[in-house]
Amino acid sequence: MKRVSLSSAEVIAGNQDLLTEILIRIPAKPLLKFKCVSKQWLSLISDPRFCILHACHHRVLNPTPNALLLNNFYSSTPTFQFVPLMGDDASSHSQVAVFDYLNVSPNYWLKIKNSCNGLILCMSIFYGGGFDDAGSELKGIICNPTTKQFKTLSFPVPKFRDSKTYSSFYGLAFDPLKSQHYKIICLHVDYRGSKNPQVYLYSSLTNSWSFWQNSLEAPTLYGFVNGVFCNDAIHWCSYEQTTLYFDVNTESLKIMPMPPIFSTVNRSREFMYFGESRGRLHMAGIRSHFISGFDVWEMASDYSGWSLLYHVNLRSVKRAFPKKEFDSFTILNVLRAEKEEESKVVISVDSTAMSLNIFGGTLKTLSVLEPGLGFPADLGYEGHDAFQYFQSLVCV
Amino acid sequence: MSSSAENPTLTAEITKPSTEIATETAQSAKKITLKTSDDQIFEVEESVAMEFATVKSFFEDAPSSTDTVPLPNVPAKPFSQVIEFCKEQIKFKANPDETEKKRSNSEFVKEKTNEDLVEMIPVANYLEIKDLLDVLNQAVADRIQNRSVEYVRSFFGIDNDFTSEEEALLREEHAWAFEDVDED
Repeated sequence: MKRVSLSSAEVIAGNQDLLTEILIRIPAKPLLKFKCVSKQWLSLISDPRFCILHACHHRVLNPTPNALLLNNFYSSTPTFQFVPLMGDDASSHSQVAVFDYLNVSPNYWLKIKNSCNGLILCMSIFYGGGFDDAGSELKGIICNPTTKQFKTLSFPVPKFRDSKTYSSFYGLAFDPLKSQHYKIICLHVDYRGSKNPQVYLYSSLTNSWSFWQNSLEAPTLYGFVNGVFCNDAIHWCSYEQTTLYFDVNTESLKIMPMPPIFSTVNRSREFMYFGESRGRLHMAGIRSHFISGFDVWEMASDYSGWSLLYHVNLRSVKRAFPKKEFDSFTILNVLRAEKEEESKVVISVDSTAMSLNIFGGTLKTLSVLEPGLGFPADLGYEGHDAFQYFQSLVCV
Repeated sequence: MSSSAENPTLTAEITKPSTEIATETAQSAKKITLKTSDDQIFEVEESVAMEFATVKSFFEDAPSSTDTVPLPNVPAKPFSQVIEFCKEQIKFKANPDETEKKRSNSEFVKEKTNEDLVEMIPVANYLEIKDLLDVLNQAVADRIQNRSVEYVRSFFGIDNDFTSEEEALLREEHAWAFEDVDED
C-alpha cells in the first residue's frame, strides 16, 4: 500500500478526539485486534469511557443482536449453543459461546440467566442443587463474552424461615445510552409464605446489594423465570391476569397486565415466548391443536395493554419439514426490523435454528443445535433458553 | 465531477420563475476569499463558505469584513476536495433526500485514496464540518476494519512500541479477532 502523508496521519494518530471518532465506528471484534497497534491504541480501546461511547454508537446504528446464546440444559461444559443472526461472518463469532475463561469448577453448572446489551449474567450452581436453585449456594458471574472480561458476585440469601421452598428470579438492566453502570435485581419468593417477593438490587456503581421494601404480591405462577429488560424496566411474565415489572429509574416494583388469552383462567393459547425487540415487549404463543401459525403480541409503551402485532404463518416451515409432528417446535426470538418487511422470528424445529421472515415466509437455516446432555434428543430449546448477544466492548 | 452535470436539481432551477433565478444569482455572486496554509487563494461562494463553521463564526464576529480569511491549518489540496463535498451538500439542504445524500456521500469517498481521506480529516475538523467529518471517519473505519495490525500501523505512520512478548500476549488473549483478516 502507499504510505499516506505522515503529517496528516500523525495529526490524527496524535489527536485522541479525532482517533476516537474513527475507532468508535469500527465493530468490537476488529478493535480487539487493534489493541496490538500501539500502547496508545491499547489504552484508548480499553478505556471504559471509550467502550461506552462505542456501545452507544453501535446501539443507535443497529439495535439488532449479533447472535443468540442458548442455555445447554445444564451441560457440564461451559459452552453454549450459538445461533448467528448476522449472516456475513457467522462462524467466526461462535468463539464467544465458549465461557471456559470463567474457570467454573467441574462440580458446577453454568447457566445464563439474563443478557442485556452485550453483558451476560450467569449463575454457577452446585450439582447437588439440582434444577431448583433453592437451597444451593449461588454464585453469579457478570461477563462480556466479546472481551472475556468478567466479575464474580455473591448473591444475597433471602430471609425466609424455610430455605428450601423459595424461588428466585433475576433481571439485568444495562443501557449504554442512559448510563455506563448496570443493575441486577434479584426477587426471592416463598410461595408457602406471604407471596411478597424480597427484592435485592445490585448496582455496579456502588458494587453492593441493597434490600428493597416491597408490598406487592408476586403472581403465583411465573411463566418464564428470566427478567426481560426493556425501556429502563425489567419485566417478568406470569400465567395470571397481571404480572410485575421493576422500574429501574424509580427503583420500584409495578404491576402490568398480561394478555387475557394466556392466563390460566381463560387460556386459549400456549404461551411460548416473552422477550424484547427495538424497545418493545413481545409475547408469542400458539393456539392449542392449531399449528398453522402463531401470534405475536406487543405491549403498549404506556403499559396500557397488549395488542396483536403479527400472525406468523408456518406454511413454509411445514413445507420444509413435511414429516414433522411439530411437537418440538419452539420460538427462540422475535426480531423487529427497521423496515417492517424485514422483521423475523427465530424458531427451532427438529434441532435446527432458523429465521423466518414474518411477511415473506422466507426460511433460512442459522445453525444446528446439539441436544443437551442427559436429555431426550428431540427436546427443543425454548424461548427462555435463548439470550441476545451483542458484540460490545463494555466493561463489567 | 461528471455526475453533477446530470443532477436533477440543476435542471429544476432552470424551470423556476425568472425573478427567483435573479435573486439566487445575486446571492451566489457574493464570494469569500480564503487563503490556505500553502498561500493559495480560493474564492468560494458565500453559501459554501458558510458550511465551514469556523469561517461562519469569523463573519459573525465581523459581518462587514471583506478581508481575506486565513486558514493556517488548511493545505490547498484537501481544501479543494472539501469544497467539492460542501457544494454537493448545499444541494441537499435545499432539497432534502436522505437516500440520494447517502449515495452521493459514498460516491464521494469511494473515489478518494487513503491519503485523500486522511488529509481531509484534520481540515474538516478545523473547519468544523460535522457531516463531512462523519463521512470521512466512517470511510476510514470501513477501510481499516478488516485489515491487519501492520497495515493499520503503516496507514497512520504509527511505530510499534510493544515488546514482542507483550504483543504476543495480546494476540493470544483475543486470538479469534485475528481470523478473517484481509491480505495487505
